[in-house]
Amino acid sequence: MSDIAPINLHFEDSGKWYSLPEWAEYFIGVGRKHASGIPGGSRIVTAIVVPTRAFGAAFVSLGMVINDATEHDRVSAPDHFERLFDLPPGTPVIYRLSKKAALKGLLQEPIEYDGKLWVRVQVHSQAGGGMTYCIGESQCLNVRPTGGRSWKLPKNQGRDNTKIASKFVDSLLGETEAGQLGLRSSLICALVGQRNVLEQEIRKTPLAIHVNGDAPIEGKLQDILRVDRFVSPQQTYRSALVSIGTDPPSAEVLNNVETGVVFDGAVGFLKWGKMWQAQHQVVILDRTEPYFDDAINAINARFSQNSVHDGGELPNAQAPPGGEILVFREALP
Amino acid sequence: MISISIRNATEVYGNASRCEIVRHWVDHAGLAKVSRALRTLVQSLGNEATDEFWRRTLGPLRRTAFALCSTPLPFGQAGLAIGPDWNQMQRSVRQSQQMFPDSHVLLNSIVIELKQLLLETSSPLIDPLETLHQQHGSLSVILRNPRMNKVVATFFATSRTMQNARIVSASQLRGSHQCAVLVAIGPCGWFPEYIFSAPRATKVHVVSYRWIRDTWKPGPLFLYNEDTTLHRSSSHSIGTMPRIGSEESPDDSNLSAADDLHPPDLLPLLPAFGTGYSPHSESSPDRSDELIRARLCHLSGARAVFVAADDGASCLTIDTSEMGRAAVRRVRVDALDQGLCLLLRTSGGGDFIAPLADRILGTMADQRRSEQTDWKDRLIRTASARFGSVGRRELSLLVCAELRAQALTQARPSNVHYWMSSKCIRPRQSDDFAAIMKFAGLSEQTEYLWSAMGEIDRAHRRAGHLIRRMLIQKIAATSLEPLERDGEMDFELGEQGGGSISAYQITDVAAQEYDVPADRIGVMLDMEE
Repeated sequence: MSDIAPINLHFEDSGKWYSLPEWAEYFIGVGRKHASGIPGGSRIVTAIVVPTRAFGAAFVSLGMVINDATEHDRVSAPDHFERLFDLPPGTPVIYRLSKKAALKGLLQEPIEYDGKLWVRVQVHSQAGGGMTYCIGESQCLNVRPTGGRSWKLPKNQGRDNTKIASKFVDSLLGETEAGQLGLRSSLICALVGQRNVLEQEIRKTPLAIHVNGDAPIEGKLQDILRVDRFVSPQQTYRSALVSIGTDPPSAEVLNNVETGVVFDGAVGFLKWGKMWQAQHQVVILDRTEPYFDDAINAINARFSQNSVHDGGELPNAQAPPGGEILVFREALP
Repeated sequence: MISISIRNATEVYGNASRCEIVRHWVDHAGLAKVSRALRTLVQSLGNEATDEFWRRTLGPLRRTAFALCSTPLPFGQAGLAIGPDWNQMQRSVRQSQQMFPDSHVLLNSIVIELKQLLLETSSPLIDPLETLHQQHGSLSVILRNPRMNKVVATFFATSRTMQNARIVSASQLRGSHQCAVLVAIGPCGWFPEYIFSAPRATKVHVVSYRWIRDTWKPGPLFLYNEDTTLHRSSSHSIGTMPRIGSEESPDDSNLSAADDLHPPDLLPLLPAFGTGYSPHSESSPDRSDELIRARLCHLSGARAVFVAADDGASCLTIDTSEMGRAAVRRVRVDALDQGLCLLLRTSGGGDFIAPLADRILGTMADQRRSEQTDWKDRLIRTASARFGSVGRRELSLLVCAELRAQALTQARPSNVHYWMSSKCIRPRQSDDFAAIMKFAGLSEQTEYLWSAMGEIDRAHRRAGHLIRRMLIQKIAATSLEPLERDGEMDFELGEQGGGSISAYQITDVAAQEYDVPADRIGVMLDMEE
């Protein structure tokens, strides 16, 4: 179904791990085909009819976030070093000593020594001696802010803190980009749908990645998507959830989404589909849901009234089993 | 939407690509004749078919014929379940002789033949079901009319040959419900399209009468251009869809295409209210009627109910997609939607909170209710004396304008209208209450009445909490499958003072709001009559 190389994700069923099914890879592929930014005067609207919309929007969003990570130039060491300097002392970080060794740390005031600047990472508490590493520019990519709450340092710690470094995220995004998750918030995509359903899929469904035949590394979609509603105020986010309740999307979500808006079902699309003016849109419509026919009519109306032939390329449109897909370029309002 | 797992979703996608839909045709000359005669009668009547006489006459006839065409029950049992009033029908036939002589003969023959059909002890729909049951060992069966689900489920359970057949509803087939073999009784056009285009079974059998046309097949939903160039303006494709499998031809050499009935021909008449009040009517209710702003909720089984839609109004609901405590919750009326189940007391005016609140108030109930009625009466009488005999809504407008002119309240006319209604206990703000008390000449009693109405208000809240708690306890010990299957379910809370409450699945909520007499709120309306 998808012509993009699959990612090696697995899902759990009755205590066993299975490769992600083809339909799930399909949705990830749809997300990966949407590049951020609208180069011309039109955006891509992708409407997909499916026999069940379960996990569809979540996986499309995953594809968008992964695509964003891989399409951007890898951050350079000087840039990263500069960003670390801007962070306040006490910012929690992971310091990777090697591929398999990571330490919890807290950033300290940088220092100048021997004519060079150094980032300082404290890894033991004061009671444990307050051991602190000084890291130069060449090694700075091994220091990554967690984007979360500050933490208490132990008196002593081994070098096996790989869990906190989230190999799950590293494996999916690559180590450098994974570090960027904690540096700054951005809105790669917005998911519009029913909060409890999306929360179940994104926060509560265990997934795993197998690397080189090692034991599965577990994680959740939330580790990558970092949905704003599910992170603490101290944590950084990568996507926004717009719940289909009574409150419309905020101005921040309307204006700052970089790649696209993913509608999980007809209701959100009918309610707020016209509010995003300049982002790609992916609309997932479940044949079994209420207002399905209304949403089909709305898509057809937009296609017949707004579709443009401006020379922009379109992603290949292959429909999933039991599904139908329409992709078109729509003139920006 | 009920959250489903990746494994279940994989099964759904698998079904969509592998499913085969097989049609089976059955015959019954007598039923075909009656069905066609009914269609002919309706067509010959034209617009007259919606007249009161014909609505009352045709309704039971069509419902009975439809039950025979759509229910896998012996005709006699289906007749008992529908319970047509033959005496009434005979009276209608006699009346038609005078009133509609052109249609009398046809109506008379339909009544005679239909009555004759109900003496039969079998149905052609049962044979193919028994064969499929024998082949597969178990079946899931979906019916067009959910009101027949219970009686057919009982028939299956007591049948020697179909004990492993179970009834499922269209809403169950939206979620993760999977079955090996699904049988739809009636043409595809009687069911939501997703039953066939997003099947929850690997094989779907459609058992229908030969003379009901059924041409459904999967097709495109989106508009698209056949443009395959590199820089095309759109791209479109359809995935693997359920296959229409081998089927015997419905063609019968004795029939022409014109003889075929179309699926909608047999469905009961378009919704109309048989209880005398039509929300679509242009005529205004009596001026003295107490009117409430209301929304019309369509419920499973072609029923409907008005729910009060005043500011902030809410209803107690069951959400079968949630578990435990979260399943029972209050939902604002403007957020009611398809799939939620509305809780109603089907006898006693639909309100299940007020009777329990009165029990909570105990010996004070009569006095407090009397005080509640008195201050409203006084308010309305004072307003009528001041502004003359005008309708309640106009009265609210005038009272509101006066209160606002005196800077006593910022309320809107709709608020004042609601305060005057018997459904209201007291305004939310004490300032507003003081304003209307002053207007009604009850200033001296403001504090006392505010406090007294507060007691009623607290009793109502407590009653709501109690009902919710009782329902949560009940649901914890009861499967909600009957509610999902039949679209309705009764909850007996009698032993705890809650009485009997029924849940009905909402199938649609009208966007329009209506002014409805207060005594119609919460009263079940039958859309088929």
